[in-house]
Amino acid sequence: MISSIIYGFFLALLSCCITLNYRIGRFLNLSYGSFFTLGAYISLLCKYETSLILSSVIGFLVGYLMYLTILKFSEDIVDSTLISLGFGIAIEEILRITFRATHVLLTGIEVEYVEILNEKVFVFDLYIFLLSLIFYIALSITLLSSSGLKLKFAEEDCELAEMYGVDVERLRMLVISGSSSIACLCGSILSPMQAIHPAMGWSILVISIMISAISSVFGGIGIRRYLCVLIVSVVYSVVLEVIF
Amino acid sequence: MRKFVLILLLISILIAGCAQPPKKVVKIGVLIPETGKFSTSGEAMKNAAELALKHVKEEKLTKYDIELIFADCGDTPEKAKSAFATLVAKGVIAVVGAYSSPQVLAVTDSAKETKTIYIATVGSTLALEKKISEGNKYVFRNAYNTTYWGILAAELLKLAKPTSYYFVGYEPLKTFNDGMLKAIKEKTGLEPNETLYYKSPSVSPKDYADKAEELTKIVGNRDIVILGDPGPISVKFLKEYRGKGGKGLLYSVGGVLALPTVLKGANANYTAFQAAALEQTPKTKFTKKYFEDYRKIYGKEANNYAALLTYDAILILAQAIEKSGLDKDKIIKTLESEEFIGAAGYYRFVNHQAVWGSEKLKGVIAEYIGKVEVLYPEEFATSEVVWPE
Amino acid sequence: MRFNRFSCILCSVRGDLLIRDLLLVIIVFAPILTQNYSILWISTLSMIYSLLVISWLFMERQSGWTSFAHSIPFGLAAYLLAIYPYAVFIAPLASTALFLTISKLDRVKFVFVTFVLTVVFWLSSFYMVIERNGISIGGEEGFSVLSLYLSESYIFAVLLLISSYVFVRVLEKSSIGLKMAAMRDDEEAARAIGINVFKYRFMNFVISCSIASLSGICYALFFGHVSPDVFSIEVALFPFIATFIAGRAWISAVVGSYILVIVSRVFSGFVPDFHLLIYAIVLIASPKLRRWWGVKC
Repeated sequence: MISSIIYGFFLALLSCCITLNYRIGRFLNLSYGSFFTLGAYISLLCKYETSLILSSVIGFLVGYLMYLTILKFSEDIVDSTLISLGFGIAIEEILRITFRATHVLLTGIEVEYVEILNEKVFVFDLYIFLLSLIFYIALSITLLSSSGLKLKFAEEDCELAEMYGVDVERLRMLVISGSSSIACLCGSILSPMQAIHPAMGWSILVISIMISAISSVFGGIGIRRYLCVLIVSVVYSVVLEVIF
Repeated sequence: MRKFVLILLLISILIAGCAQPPKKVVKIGVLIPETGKFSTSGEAMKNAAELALKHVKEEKLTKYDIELIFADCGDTPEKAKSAFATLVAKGVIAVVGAYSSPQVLAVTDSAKETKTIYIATVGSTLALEKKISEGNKYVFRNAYNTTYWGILAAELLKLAKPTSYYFVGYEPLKTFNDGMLKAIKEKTGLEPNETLYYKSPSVSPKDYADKAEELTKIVGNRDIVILGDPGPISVKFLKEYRGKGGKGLLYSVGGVLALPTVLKGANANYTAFQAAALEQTPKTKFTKKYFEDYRKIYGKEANNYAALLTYDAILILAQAIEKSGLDKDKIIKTLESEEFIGAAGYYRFVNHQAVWGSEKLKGVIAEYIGKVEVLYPEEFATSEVVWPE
Repeated sequence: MRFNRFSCILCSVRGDLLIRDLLLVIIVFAPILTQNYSILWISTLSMIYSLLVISWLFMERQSGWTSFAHSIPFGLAAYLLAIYPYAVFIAPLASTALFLTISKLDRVKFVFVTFVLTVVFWLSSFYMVIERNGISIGGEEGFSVLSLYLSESYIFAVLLLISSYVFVRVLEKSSIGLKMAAMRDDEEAARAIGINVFKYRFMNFVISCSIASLSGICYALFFGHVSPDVFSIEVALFPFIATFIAGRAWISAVVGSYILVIVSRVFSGFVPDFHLLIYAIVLIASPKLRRWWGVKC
C-alpha cells in the first residue's frame, strides 16, 4: 500500500507537468517520456549524484530548445503538439544512435530499501516521493502568492493576461523547460531501478496523459486542479494494486 | 503548382528507389528491428548478420558473392511487411529476420505471395507451423517454437529437482506464456504451485513489483521461479524480487535476462537462463568463432539468441545456395532435406521448422553465479544447479 | 425538384474540379504503370490510411469534433472480420455510440477522453484470446484473416478511396453538409434555426465511423493478419499528423497519408538507421511545411 501511494505521487508529479504544459504551455507535450529516458541515459555517463544535477540542467536546456522551436514554428496548439512529438522521437533516436546498445543498459548501482510500516520501500522511490512533495509545496506557495494570480490568469485566458501585462511567454518558457527538467531528473533518480533502453519512457507518457485526462474531467481552478491530479494519481495507483 | 511538383518528386523518389539494379551478386535481405522497443536486439542482430557474411567468405561456404541488404522492421507487423516489400523490390533471393511473432506471421504471407524464401529467426508462434501446413513452402524457422521454450524450462526442472516451481508470465505475451507453460506441464507432469501474470506498465506501472513482493512471501529456497517475460521489465522484476529478499532459483526464458552482461550488471546471482549457444558450449567450429570475433570486432559480448540465430540463418542460406544454386525451388528442396552447420549446432528442418532438441541441435541452459556455468546439455555442463544459501 | 437540387450539387462539385482532384487520379493510378511490387504495396497501404484520414477529417471538418480514437472503428472492424465476419457491421455502430456518448462532454474533453479510450482499447486487445480446437489463439499474436492478393487489395483500396472521396465532397456541398457545417460553427445558433443537431451529429459520426471501419476491413484483408497494433496510438494519431502536415483539404488527406507512409515505411528500406530521425524532423517542420504547402486551416 505504501509503495502504491508513493508511486501515486510520482505519477502525480508527471501528470501535473503534463497539465501545466497544456494549460500554460498551450500544447499536449508528447515528448515527456523521452525526457524521462534522456535522464536515465545521462545517469550512465557519470556518478549518480552528478547525474542528478546534469540531467536537470540538460533537461532544462533541451526543453528550452523545444520552447524556442515551438515559438518559431508553431501557430496553434496542434502545431506545438506535433513539434513535441517530433522532439520526443528525435531524442529517442539520438540516444539509440549514440549509444548503439545491443542490450538494455544498467547503472550497476546497488538497490537498497527501507522498511516503512512493515513494508519494504526502495530508497529511490522515496527520493521521487520527496521530489514530488517539494514540487507540490512549491506549486502551492506559488499559486497562493501574487505570482500565482498571474499563473491562474494565464491558465484561464492567456490573451487577456497578456493585455494586463503578464509575461505569458516567460511563463510558457519556464513551464516547458522546467517540466522537461523535472522529467529528466525523474529518469535519472529512478535509473538504478530501470532497464535502460530507448523506448522505456513510452509507458510513462501514456499513463501520465491518461491521468491528466481523467483529472481534467473534474476541472478545478488553481491549486485545486493540481490537487485533483494528485488524488486521481494516488487513487489510480492504489486501486490497481487492490484490483490486480 | 508547388503541390504538384512535390507529389511528382515523391513519386519519382519511390520509383527510383524501388528500381532493381542489374543482378551481379546474390542478395539476402535482413529484417532487423532498428527502431522501436526491440531496437537493442536489432543492433545485435545487425552486427551478427555482418559477422555472418564475413565468416561465409572466410570459410568459403559458397562460391557466390553474397550481399546483405538491411531493412528496419520496427516493432509492428505493418512495418515488418513494408520492410519486406522494400527488400523484395531490391531483388533479394531470400530474407531472414524479423522479431516478434506478429511480425513473422505478417511477413510469412508476403513470402508466399512474392515467392521469396524467408527464414524466421526469433518469433516462436505455433501459428507459423499452421501456415506452413496450409501450403506456404517458402517459410522456414531456425528459431525455437513455443513448445521448445517450454521443453527447455522442463529440462531445468528435471535437472534441478526443485521442491516446487512457480510461473510468472507477462500479460502482453500471454499466448506465448500459456503455450510455454502447457509444454512444461506436458513434459514434466508437474503443475506450478502458483501462476502469476504481471501487467504491462502502461496499465499498471507497479504490477511487476507487487507480483515480485507476493512471490517473496511464498517461494522457498529450493523452489524455482520461471519468468516468462523476455523483455526489460524482467530486469525490474528481478531487482524487486531479490531486493525484497526473494529466495530460490530464478529461470529466465531469455531475451534481456539471458545476456551475461546484463546478469552481471544486475548482480543476478542464482539466475538460470537459456541460450541457443554460449561461448562455453562449442557445438561447432562456428560457435567459438562467432563469440570471439563478435567481441573482437564490436567490443561487446555477443547476443546468444536473436543475433546468433540471425547469424546462423545466413550461414544456412549460404550453404543451401552453394548446394542448389540460385533456383528458389531447388533451394527450398535443399533446405527441406539437407543438414546445415551453424553456431548453435547442426540444423535439419522438419516441416520447415528446425528440429530443436535433437542430438545435434539443443538449446543451452546456464546459471549465473558470479560467472556463467553451463547446466545443460550434459556434454557441455560445467556445474550442477547451484541453489542460493 | 430533387433532380434540380442534385444537378446543382454536381455543378458546384464539377466547378471545384481543380488540379488537386486530378492529382488524386495520378496518385492512385500511376503506381499501376510501374508494375513494381513494392510501389504497389506502399500505394495500397497509403490508400488504406488515406481512407482512415478521410474518415477522421470528415468528423473533424464537418462537425468540429476532433477524435484521437479513430483507431477504434478501424481496429474493431479488422478484429471482427478476423473473429466473426458476420458481425463486422457492429464496428461502426458501436464506435458511433461511443463517440456520441462522449460528445456529451465539451469538445476539449472529447479529445482527451478519446485518447484515453484509444489506450484502453489498445491495451485490452492483448486480452482478446479465443479457443479454437483446444488451442488459444489471439492475444499478442493476433488473428489470421483471409488475405487478398496485392492486386486485389489495390483495386479494393482504389474503389473505396475514390468512392469515399467523391462521397464526402458531394455531401459537403449538399444540404446535409451545410447543416453539419452550421452545427460545427455554432450549435446553439443551428438549433435556433431549426437544425436537429443530434440528428446531424449522429449522421456525421456514423459516416465517419463507417469509412474508418471500411479502411480497417481493407487493412485486414491486405495484411491477412490483425494484431493489437491496429488499435495503437500510432494509428490513432496518424490522421491528426497527416492532416496537419498536408492541410485540411480532402486531397490533403491523401497527400499527407502518402507522405507519412513514405517517410516512415519506405525510408526504412533506404536509410534504416535514420529514417525515424527524418520522420521526427518532418514532424518538427510540419507547421512550416503546411504553410509552404499553402493550405489554410
